[in-house]
Amino acid sequence: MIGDYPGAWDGMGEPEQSVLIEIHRAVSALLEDDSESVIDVSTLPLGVADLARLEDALGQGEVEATIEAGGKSTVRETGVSGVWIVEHFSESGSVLAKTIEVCEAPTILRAHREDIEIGRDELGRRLA
Amino acid sequence: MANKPILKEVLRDRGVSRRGFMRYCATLTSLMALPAAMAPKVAQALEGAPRPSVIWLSFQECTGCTESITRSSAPSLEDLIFNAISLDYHHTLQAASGHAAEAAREAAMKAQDGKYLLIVDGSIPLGNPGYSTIAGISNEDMLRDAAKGAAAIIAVGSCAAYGGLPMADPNPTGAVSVSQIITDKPVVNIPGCPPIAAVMTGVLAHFLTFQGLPDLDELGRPVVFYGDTIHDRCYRRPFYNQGLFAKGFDDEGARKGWCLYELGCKGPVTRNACATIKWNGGVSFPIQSGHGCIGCSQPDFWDAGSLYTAVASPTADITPVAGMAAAAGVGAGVAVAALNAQSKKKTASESTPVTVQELGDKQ
Ligand code: SF4
Ligand code: SF4
Repeated sequence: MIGDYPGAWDGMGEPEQSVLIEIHRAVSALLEDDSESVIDVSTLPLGVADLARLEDALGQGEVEATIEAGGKSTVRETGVSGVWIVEHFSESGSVLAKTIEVCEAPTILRAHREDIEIGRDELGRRLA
Repeated sequence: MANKPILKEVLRDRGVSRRGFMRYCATLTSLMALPAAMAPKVAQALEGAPRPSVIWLSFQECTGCTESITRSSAPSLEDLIFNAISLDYHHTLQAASGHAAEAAREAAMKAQDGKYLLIVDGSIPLGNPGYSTIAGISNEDMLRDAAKGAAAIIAVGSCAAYGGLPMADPNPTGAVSVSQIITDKPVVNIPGCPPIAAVMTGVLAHFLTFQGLPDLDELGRPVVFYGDTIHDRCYRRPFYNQGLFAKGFDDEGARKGWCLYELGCKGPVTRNACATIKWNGGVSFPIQSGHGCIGCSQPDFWDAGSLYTAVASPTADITPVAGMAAAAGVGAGVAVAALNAQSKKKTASESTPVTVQELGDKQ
């Protein structure tokens, strides 16, 4: 058992367990007081196999999106609603940054006020 | 200046969406090994930075460092950010010249006294002030003057950081580095010939976000970017470990992508982020393109002998480097120890290429 998590005993010794616990706490925080969390995957003490197990454990959710904004980024919802995997890729396809975000929708996915304004003005011009 | 568009407008005019900027801040944050939750803070700091936050002086240099930042990947966000935050006072890029430019620089220094970041590229000639002047002012005087009101100083490129090419034997102009002149303020060294653009923006973003400098090593380099050698992070490393070396640029080993050590690669003694951040927007880096690292970010790399001989270390002159460590507020003993470690490596290989046998022994 790790802390309040008796189930974490199964597969003990697997480093992704502690990350799952961190994510569980983050999801609880999101529900309780809307506080969002971001975890930089490159800072986690996880090997390739650990990371694959972590992603397996989180599963696949309902949303998958590709964003082209100065380069390719992808957003995937995991099987745990509110837990997202965000990846930014370089021109050659290597991963520049990878985060696990706990929020209603990752910032990169949302339309931003500045861009919405540009869109409105442009549309307005066409209609004028 | 006063009517200069703010970063938000600059980005909008160049068609960079908010998402594009957020994406940039997220990757920069990860690159700097900052907690991912800092990304919005980094974005805020970059946007909210008062202008001019940066004064950039160019001394004995080739403009390659400026090129590196202005010609980085497209759309070059590094370039845009520097432009919005600073470049009114970039000697090479500003529109004004001569006395008008100097008057503008002095006005900016006064207005931002104690707050601006001073960026310097190029080394400073002490042999004769006439070797390099700007509007009749010697490089040394201008540096001392601009350093007075600076919150921090960044020496960009191997010339400003360590003397670089101008200091190469026989150092005809008596060139020295920034930290050999400025000893009462922190000097961040961002060596490289040229340095990687993202490293420059990373340090700038760190300064703006935290109003302070990132952790530095004993040679004044940000640890987050210069903590590892090229060799530590090189994708050809498995071949090195197995003793599989290319012996020519077109032999079978080269075609199979084997280690370039015997062709002169200085990766094992060079601290830089090329193997991870890479060049041209992450497309490639020298070793990936088939050429060994030439050690361009190490002190005195020009005097380290042939680029194509498997010599493990530059033959660094101990005096200037010890001076640098003292300037960075670190005991000179550290620099000496570092140099000793280097020269030990050098003796191990001397000028004859290391054999596969010897490499095996070393592991
Ligand atoms: S010697 Fe050079 S090519 Fe070989 S593994 Fe080290 S850095 Fe890579
Ligand atoms: S690979 Fe070596 S020589 Fe090339 S840019 Fe990087 S540090 Fe300089």
